Amino acid sequence: MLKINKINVFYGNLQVLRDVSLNINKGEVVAMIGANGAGKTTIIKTISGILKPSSGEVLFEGEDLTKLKIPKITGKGIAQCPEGRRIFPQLTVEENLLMGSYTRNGDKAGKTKDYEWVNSLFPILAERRKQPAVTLSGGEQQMLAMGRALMAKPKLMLLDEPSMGLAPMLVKSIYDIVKTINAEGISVFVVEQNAFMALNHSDRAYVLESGKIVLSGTGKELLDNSEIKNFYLGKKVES
Amino acid sequence: MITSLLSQQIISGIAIGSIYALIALSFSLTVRALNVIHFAQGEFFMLGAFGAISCYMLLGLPFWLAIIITTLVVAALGIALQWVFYNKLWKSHHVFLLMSTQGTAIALANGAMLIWGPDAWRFPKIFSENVYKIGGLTIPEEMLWISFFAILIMIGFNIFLYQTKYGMGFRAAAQDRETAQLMGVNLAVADSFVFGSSAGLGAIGGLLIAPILFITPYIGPIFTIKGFTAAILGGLGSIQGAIFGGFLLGIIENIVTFWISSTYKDAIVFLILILVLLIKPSGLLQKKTIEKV
Amino acid sequence: MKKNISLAILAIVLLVLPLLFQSRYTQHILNMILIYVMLGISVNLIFGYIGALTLGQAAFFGIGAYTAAIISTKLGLSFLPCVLCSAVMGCLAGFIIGIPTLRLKGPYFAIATIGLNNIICIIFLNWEHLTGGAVGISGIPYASILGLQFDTERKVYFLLLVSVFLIFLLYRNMISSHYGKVMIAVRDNELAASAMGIDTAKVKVIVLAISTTIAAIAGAYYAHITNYVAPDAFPVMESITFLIIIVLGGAGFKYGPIYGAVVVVILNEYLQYFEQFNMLIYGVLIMILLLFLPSGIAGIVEIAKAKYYEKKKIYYLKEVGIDEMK
Ligand SMILES: Nc1ncnc2c1ncn2[C@@H]1O[C@H](COP(=O)(O)OP(=O)(O)OP(=O)(O)O)[C@@H](O)[C@H]1O
Ligand SMILES: [Mg+2]
Repeated sequence: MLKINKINVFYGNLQVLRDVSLNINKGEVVAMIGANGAGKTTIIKTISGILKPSSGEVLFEGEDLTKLKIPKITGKGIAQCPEGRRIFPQLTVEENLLMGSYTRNGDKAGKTKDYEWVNSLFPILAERRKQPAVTLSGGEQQMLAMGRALMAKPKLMLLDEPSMGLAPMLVKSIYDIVKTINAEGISVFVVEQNAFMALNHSDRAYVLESGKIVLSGTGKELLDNSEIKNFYLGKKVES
Repeated sequence: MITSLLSQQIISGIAIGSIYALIALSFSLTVRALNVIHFAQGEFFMLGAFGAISCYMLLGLPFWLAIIITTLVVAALGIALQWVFYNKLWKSHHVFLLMSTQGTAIALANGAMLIWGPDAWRFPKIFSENVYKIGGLTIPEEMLWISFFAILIMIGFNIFLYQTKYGMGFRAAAQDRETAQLMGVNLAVADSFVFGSSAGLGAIGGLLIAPILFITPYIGPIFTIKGFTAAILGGLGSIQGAIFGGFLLGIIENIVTFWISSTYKDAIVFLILILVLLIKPSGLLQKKTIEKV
Repeated sequence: MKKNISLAILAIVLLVLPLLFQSRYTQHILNMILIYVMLGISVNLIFGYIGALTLGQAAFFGIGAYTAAIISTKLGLSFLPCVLCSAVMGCLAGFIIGIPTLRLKGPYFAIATIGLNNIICIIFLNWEHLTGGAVGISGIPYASILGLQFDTERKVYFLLLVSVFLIFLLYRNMISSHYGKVMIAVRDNELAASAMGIDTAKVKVIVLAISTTIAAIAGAYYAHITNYVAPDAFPVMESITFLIIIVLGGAGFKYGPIYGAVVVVILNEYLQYFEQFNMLIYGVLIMILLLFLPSGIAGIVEIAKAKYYEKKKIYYLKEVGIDEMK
């Protein structure tokens, strides 16, 4: 469904991604793990069009996205849940969710249905409907960001470090939601430093180091890989 | 006696205050969305007044048509300036922006002088010459209409901003440009909306006040500073604050004129501006103080 | 050595310049340039080196001018005591106004200074028995020092030249001293500067007071040269002109005020030919210059100089037999 072909991405003179290729099939949960500054966010931003690669292509259902403007890419069915949530602080919770469906013109019934679905996934959001989003807790904000992305009725959802700054219990429930979303037929690409969670909940995964993909395989394979254990999981896997 | 005099001042204050509110709103729009303090705001206001003169007095169009044409033309001017100058400047140091909007102000004032001449224009009463006397109060009907239309415009603008999808998108863009774009908001349109409506609202202020003011090409700067003071009073960047600040300033100004001194009226406005900046820079309505750098 | 020669040439040029031009008008323009250099220096200190954008410097210019006017006409004091009094008033005003307002950041300080400039103008206009109201004060005597009357444009030129030279020396020493580095540190990163133990508030207020002192001195000269002051000479628009001098000349560059004053005064004179179009063109020019010349003339000169020395260095290296270095 999404196929990235040898992209190179620069910030000014600084090359951040080198010949990165990956693909995501329909219905899959694909994870990417990497240390701070490896370039994970850069990949997400390149897919959603915020950054343009200097070479290479990003194909979504056969169409090259690198030529398109950001709102167009969103309209194709790629929703992003950005790093640090990036909810609109002064908009209400409800308005934040509606912002997610900004590109969907018409289809009122569909939007209402999705709105109710999101509220059933995250009941807390329904309770906080009229509050400015800035008043939500970190975990609630993460849910809001995910709900907002879902309101776009995406075919592919990009998640950038959904577990950042959350308590383990919450991280678990976030990944449960990922499973539910995936069960609805939405493909998910999740980028994480929290390697254990991401690998455990993904069908396949990539490892990114200094802008290069150094390893890939199924989630299970990578979990058992000794290098991964050393570098990304530490002692966690033993416990 | 005292109370009726006071209420008289308050009522007169509301009429001029509604105009300050419109200009304050113009200021707040560009500040909240793009952090641009647009110093030609008073000039858009002045152009609005001259638009009324041209369309209504010189061309003989009906007043409602004069309003529409003038507002659209001034809004288009605001957008054009944005594309030619500010788009390139607003990420640079605030000095450049402030200077370039000052440059705009100078150019607009003198452009207007070339078209309409340096002398004052007197606009005929459009709405009504009636003066109501209620109790001890005299209320010119004209003032009621001015306030009524100004408030109507502000309500309409608020409905657009807070009740419609595009209004929501523009508010989102004011808070987080990149993410709003991810949601599908067209930033170029959002920015032009900000500059266009900001200029247009100022123009409406000028249109409405034309009947009770002598209009010259040089009335801009004083309205710039008063509109800005109003915006600061209510909290720069806040929509409701701008409206509140406008009315408050209008009332304060009238009370000062009446009870203290009319020669020092403007000096007191400036003093208020400085004091609010120093003591409560986030405005009288806001609870927390934000430090803008 | 070379530097001394070029300085000597410059001095000779400056000294014979008024003799080359016979018309009073041209001499008047030279004098205006010198006054604007003073004002440019004053704005460059507070804006160029401290980063506080002031749109109210004309108020201090006005305070200086009115102080000199009032003291010379009402008390009959002679020129130098008048300048001294103006300087003291300018300095005091700088402290009184700077202490509260310099806490304001970025454009907010600028706006406070606009308000202030307006207040001062309203006071000039309305405190009639002291300032003469809208009519202003006339009959201010020509400057005279030790019996020497500066009553022609040419004599005034030499008086101004010497004064500007002294002020420039002071200013140059100030910005190349340790204190100049402190100022730049405050401008570039106030937080870091205060972390280094610099009392940033104090630095800002002191520099503002110095800058307003210079503006007030310029005002005293202005009063004694034109023999007349009125409130409409000191509006916010004038403050904007001072700022334009600096932005055009190069804010934060030593010679910025000189380049700026020369260009702005001459530009203003040329624009007079466009009659009623002059301000329109002026406004548009400001915007265009901001777009294409963001670091001012001094910025361009610096770049040109750097390139020139680069080349020269390479020639030098070749001469002594070292290949061009990358
Ligand atoms: N706007 C930018 N300008 C310049 N360099 C940048 C910019 N954004 C990111 N970088 C650099 O690009 C590299 C990759 O950044 P990226 O944000 O993609 O990392 P990441 O893998 O998401 O890290 P983290 O886990 O900390 O979020 C880093 O070295 C970073 O410093
Ligand atoms: Mg990241």
